[in-house]
Amino acid sequence: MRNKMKGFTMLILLLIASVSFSQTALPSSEAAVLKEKVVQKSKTTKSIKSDFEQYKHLSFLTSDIKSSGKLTFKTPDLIKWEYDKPFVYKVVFKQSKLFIDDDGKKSQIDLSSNKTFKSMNSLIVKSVKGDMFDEEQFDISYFKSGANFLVKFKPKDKKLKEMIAQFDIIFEKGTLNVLEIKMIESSEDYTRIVFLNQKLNESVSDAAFNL
Amino acid sequence: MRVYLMQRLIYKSIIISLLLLAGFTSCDYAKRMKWEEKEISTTVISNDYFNNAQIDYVYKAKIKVLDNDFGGIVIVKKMDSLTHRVVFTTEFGNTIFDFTITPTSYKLNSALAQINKKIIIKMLALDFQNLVSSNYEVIKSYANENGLVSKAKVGKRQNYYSYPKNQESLAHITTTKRGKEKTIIRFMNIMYGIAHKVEIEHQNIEMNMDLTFIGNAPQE
Repeated sequence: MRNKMKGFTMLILLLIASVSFSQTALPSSEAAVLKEKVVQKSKTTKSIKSDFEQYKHLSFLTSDIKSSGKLTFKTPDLIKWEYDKPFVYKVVFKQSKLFIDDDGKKSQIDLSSNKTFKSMNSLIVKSVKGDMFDEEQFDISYFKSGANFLVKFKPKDKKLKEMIAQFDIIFEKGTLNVLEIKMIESSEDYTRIVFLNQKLNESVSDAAFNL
Repeated sequence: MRVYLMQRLIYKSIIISLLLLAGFTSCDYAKRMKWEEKEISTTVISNDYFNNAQIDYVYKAKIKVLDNDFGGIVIVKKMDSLTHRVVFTTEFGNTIFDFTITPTSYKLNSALAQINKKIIIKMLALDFQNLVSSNYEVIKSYANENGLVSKAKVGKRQNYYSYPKNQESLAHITTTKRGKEKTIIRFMNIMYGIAHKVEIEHQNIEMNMDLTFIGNAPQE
């Protein structure tokens, strides 16, 4: 009798969990409200400091490849990713250039000559703020995901689609902070970035983006 | 008739000269290195650094081409007894190229358009094929001051696998063509069967790749 109760309880918990984490399409009126609120929030977001955990998923691996570090963003488009585990690597997007410090080895890439890479990096900047609502560039769909919101962005540009088939962004209910970005490749392998300990609108100097 | 005979003699002498020239320039690499040939004791090449299917071999890569530095992540996975999957991504996780490799072939699963050029793909595929593959037949064995060397024919190349006296595992691979070194692959900082540092050094072009293990190593 005890085992039966235990099994029944487990079943109920599983059902609750599956309902909690399932996605349900957001009605268009609610989607419009969500979009408007995120766009407004991104206008008032002048800086972001955050820890991040990145998971690279390849279908044939035993487990996802985990890396972590810190993100710093300053409006309009300065962004620095500092990886500290399991490798030391810093990259800054600034004025159509990518500045890299790969464990002490510095280099830079001019993105202005490569439209696809420039576009990709611009999207990463926008995704951090959550402001990717450009229906000329993306097919966009809106969902409720557990207590939060999930918005899926599918690029329309053929060359960009070859690099990323879909961006998924999870917005936190209430604050509308970007909790997670998922970049899905055409192979269905993906990179998932989870943001933690976010601090918005703290003072960030331009010097923070010098490598 | 005389002209015809002259032409034949000229052609013959040209052919003989070419053959003699080929004989001098394709000098055996082992002879040039003055290694002593030995009786073959091991019949197949052993390279166990990427042979455990339970391990995800993940490396931070630093690549130098001419004066340019690039980086990324190299991921190697043993899929079955003959096959490896080799994927190169950016630090952000974007896939740059993806190969399926066997000891005798390779298949390009995907590549960014910018690097999907035949000559680049072939060079990368051969580098990774040399890096991960084993079970080639040993055709000659040598001894040198450092230890033993096994020779195998891999496609159009002759590869030399060096096993030093003080360790059982493979120390480096020298790939050659017509007696000339093409690449040297060195395996260093060996712990629990994993090479924590790998260098791939090209001898005829200015390109080097350094790999540092960042995966989860087994503790036994």
